[in-house]
This record gives sequence, structure tokens and C-alpha cells, in this order.
Amino acid sequence: MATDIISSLPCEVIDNILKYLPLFDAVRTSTLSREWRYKWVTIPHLIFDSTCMGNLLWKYNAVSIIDKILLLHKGSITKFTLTFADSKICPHIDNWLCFLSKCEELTLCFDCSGSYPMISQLLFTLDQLTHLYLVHGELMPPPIFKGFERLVRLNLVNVSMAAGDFKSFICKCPMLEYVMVESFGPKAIGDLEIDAPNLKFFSYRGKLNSIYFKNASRLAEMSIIAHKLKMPQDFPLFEESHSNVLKFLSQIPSITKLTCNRNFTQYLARDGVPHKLPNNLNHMRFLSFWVIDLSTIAEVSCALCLIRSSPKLQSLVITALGLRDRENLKTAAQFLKEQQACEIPLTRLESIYIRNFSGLESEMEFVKLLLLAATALKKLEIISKHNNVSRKARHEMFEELATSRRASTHAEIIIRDFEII
Amino acid sequence: MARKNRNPVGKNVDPEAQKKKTRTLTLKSSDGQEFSISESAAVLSIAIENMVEDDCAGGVIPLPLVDGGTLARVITYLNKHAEDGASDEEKRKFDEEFVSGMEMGVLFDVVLAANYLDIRGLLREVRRRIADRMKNKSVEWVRKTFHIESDFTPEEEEQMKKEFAWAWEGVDSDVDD
Repeated sequence: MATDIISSLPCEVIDNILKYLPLFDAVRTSTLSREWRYKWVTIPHLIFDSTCMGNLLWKYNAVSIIDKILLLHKGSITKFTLTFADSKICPHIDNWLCFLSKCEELTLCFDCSGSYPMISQLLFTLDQLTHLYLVHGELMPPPIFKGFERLVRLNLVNVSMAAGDFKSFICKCPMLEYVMVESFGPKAIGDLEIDAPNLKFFSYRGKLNSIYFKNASRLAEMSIIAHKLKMPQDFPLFEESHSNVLKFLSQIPSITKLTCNRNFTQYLARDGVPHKLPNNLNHMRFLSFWVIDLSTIAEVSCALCLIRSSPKLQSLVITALGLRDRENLKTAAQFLKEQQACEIPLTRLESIYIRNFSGLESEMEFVKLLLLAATALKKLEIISKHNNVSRKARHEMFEELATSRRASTHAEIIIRDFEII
Repeated sequence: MARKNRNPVGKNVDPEAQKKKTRTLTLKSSDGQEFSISESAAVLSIAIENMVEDDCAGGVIPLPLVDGGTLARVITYLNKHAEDGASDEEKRKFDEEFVSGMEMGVLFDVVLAANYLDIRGLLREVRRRIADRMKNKSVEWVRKTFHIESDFTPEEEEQMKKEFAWAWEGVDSDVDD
């Protein structure tokens, strides 16, 4: 075998091998020989995660390690990741961001629950960013912030930011395709308006006053698990000009996959719900209600409105709330029975999955309504409410559903007990 | 070199693609061995594709930088990736197994061939594999494995080790894998 096989490889190949090495392994190659001394200093990705930093922190000063590596580094850093740090590291970010003018993928995760260290304004000068992932911190874009022209993916977890700032931030990042926000800080209970023409994925989890999409015609996947959305005291009669569900869904015509929590469903239904949307949601394949009260007319009618307006729906997933109010139950069951008269076009629906089912009259009527309409149904799977439904009751539910009228003769019906898998 | 985006072979019904599947090429290694391969598999190598397009092939394509053993391996890879109906998952599994059994010397031969023939997927796979082997290994292990001769004095080496002491934490004790 030839001597020094690795050094005879073309530079490009060596650089690429170093790129796949963890940072400290790459640093160690500097002591292989003089030829190798400065090969590592051009690696474009600097990853300081807990695998490399975790067992060093008791012995070494993390700040001086990062300082040193950045000082020796030459060329562009296109990916920078810091995921081991506590809030004490924060003040040093300023110095480091100066080295990251070419950075495309930036990840900063601070482990400091409850506090929101201010992230340096220098962040807003990194105009090459395509991916930004922040955990814990406060963001305050300066008025002169021009936007991230190339930003495609944005992940914010526990990042404190005023709703107005967030709105203008999104607006200034025209290439955004993916936005995931989990729990804004205390500042942010506000009104979200999202104007993102290239957005394909949007997920929000946390407190919120209101949410509205202005320009999101490509949005395909959305999940909203919201709390504290503004509600009026009582549900008024439906008036098309005010309808929230109409207003909201007309802005996202390409939606394919939608997940709503109870608060968001109530929010959509808050000004009354039409029987069906004027324009079908022709791309919708997957619809999920993560907790819905099937005994509340507003929520049920909102769900039915979405189902009726989604002729290509293939899969429906529901987590039922269970019993809260016995009086509503009767009214809702009656309402659902009446709906049987109007046709629901469900020619593609193949799978229905319902969790936390307790066999309430309204729940049963809801399922019967779907069985009556879904001509292509293959599987109805019901998971009964934990500790609440006896084997006998499950059997009775099964009998009742199995003998009710069904549009699809070959649909399999399964009712089983909750189990931890 | 021209960068071309190739559609994965399969499902394609255009007559040109059909022709490529049935047409075979002959690749000749540095030690004179000849291998037949369908054109659709061969052109997953951008270098070969360019040679075919420039029509400098003339039936047999000589590859003076690749020996027979390495070329046989590369052809196995190309055939799998040109296979009709092989799912991405299947190919991924194949890639994993393909490189996992290779000794370091073989990995270097293959990485050189993949670089020369411009086969992106294979190049990525082998580079990652080489890096995986180097992870957590001592400087001495890397020197021995890659036949690198140190030209540092022991004092210089000691000094550098001190300077980057944190980079030596958690290094495996030398065991051959």
C-alpha cells in the first residue's frame, strides 16, 4: 500500500471527510503532521453540541474553547450550532456572531428555563441565513432590519418576541417555507398576522389572541395548538361577512393537512359556521381535531363544515373531550341526527381514528353520520376512554355501530381499550 | 465538469431511456479487465455520461485510474442504483451494507474512483464512512491507519496537545476496529 494514503487524496475529498467528523476529531488532525496542521481550519460547519462539549464543561472554559476555534478558523462558516449552553454564555454570542457573516444555518439553544436572555442585534445582520433555530431568548429586531432574504426555515422555541415584531419579521423573509413556533415568551400574547407567500408548513403551539393569514396560498400543512384565543361571550348566528372560519380558510386554499386543537376550533367557529365553505378545500387529505367536544354544537358544526368542504379527505383523527355538560349532549345529538338528511360528499375517506371515546349519544351520532357518508371507508378505529368504559359497554357500542347504516360495506370497525404502546 | 441533474431511472417511458437500458457499454480498468454495464447504470457517473455524450467512447471506455477490483465494486453500486423499482429505502440500505464491510484501503480506492468518475451518492457515502472510522480515534491510530508519518518533534507535539487539551478528552484507547 502506498505511504500516506489519505494525504494523497484530492483536497476536496479530504475537506469533505473532515466535514463529516465531529469538530474536536477534526481539530486533533492538526497534530498528525505539518501537512495536516491547518487542514481543519477551513471546515465550514462548527457544531458545539452536548456530545462534544458535555463532558468538558466541568474542566474547561467553554467560552475560551469557542473563542479559540473561531480565531483559528479561516474561510466561511456556513453552519454554526450551539446547543449545550446556559444563559452565562449569552453575552459572548456577540463576539461569535461577528465571525458568522456567511452563516447559512444557525442554531442557538440556551438551557435557561424561565428567563429570556436578549439575543444580540448582530443576529439581524446575518443576511445569508437559510435556517434559523432558536431556543430560549428574546428577539427584538431593530427598525432598520431589512429581513433575511434567503431564510427558508424558522424554528422558535420559547423565544420572547412581540407579536408586531414577529409579524414584520415574517413579512421581511419572503422565501420562508417552514415556520415552527412553540410558546412565545410572556410578551407575545397578541395578534398574529402571517404574510408569507412561499410558506408550506406552519406550526404554532402556545398562547395567542388571534391569528390570521394574509398571503399564504401555498400553505399545505398547518397545526395550531393555541390557548387563550379571543372568544365572544356567546356564539352569535352565522353571518357570512363575519365568519371566522370562512375568512381564515379562504386564505389557505392549498391546505393538505390540518391539525386544530379545541381552542382553535372554537376560534374558527366563534362567529357562526356555514353549512359548507363556498370554495372546497380541494387539497385537504388529513384532518385532525386534537380534542373536540362533540357535545357542543359550535365545535361539531365547525368540524362538519370542514369535513363537508374537503371532498378529497382521506384520513380523519379525533380526540374526543368526553362528557362535560349533560344538557348540551341532548341538543348536540339531536343536531347531529338532523344532519343525516344532508349529504356529505366523502368518497375518499378511508380511515377514521377516534381517541378518548366514551360512547356518549352525541359521539355515537357523530360516528354514525360519518359511516353513512364515507363510501370508501376501510377502517374505523375507536379507542375508548381510559378506565371509563367497560368491556360490556364497548361491546354494546360495537353492536350499535356495526348494525347502523353504512355507505361502505367493507369497512372494518374496531373498538378497543386504551393501552400504552 | 458539467453538472447535470439526473432523474432517477425507472417509471420513465421515453424511448431514449428505454434505449439506454438495453444498450450496454464496456468499461476497461487500469489492469485491462473489461466489464459490461447498461448505459442507464453507467451514466449515473457524470464523467462516463460526458464521455458517452461526447462520443469519445467508441465502444470501450478506458478508465486508466481505476483498477479492476475497485471497478467491479463501483459497478455493483451503479447497477443497484439504476435498478428498476428499487425504492429509496432499499437503496439506502444497500448503501449502508455496501460500505460497511470495506477495509480502510478499499474505502480509499473507492473514494478515489467515485471522485474521478463523479458519482455523487457514492462519494458522499464513502466519505461519511471514512469519517465514521476516524471518530474518537487517537492521533496515533489515525497515523498508523493512514500511513501518515509525523514530522513534529516530541516537544512540538506535546505543546500542541496542551494547547488543544480539550480536544483529547474522550478519545478511545487504541483498539483496531
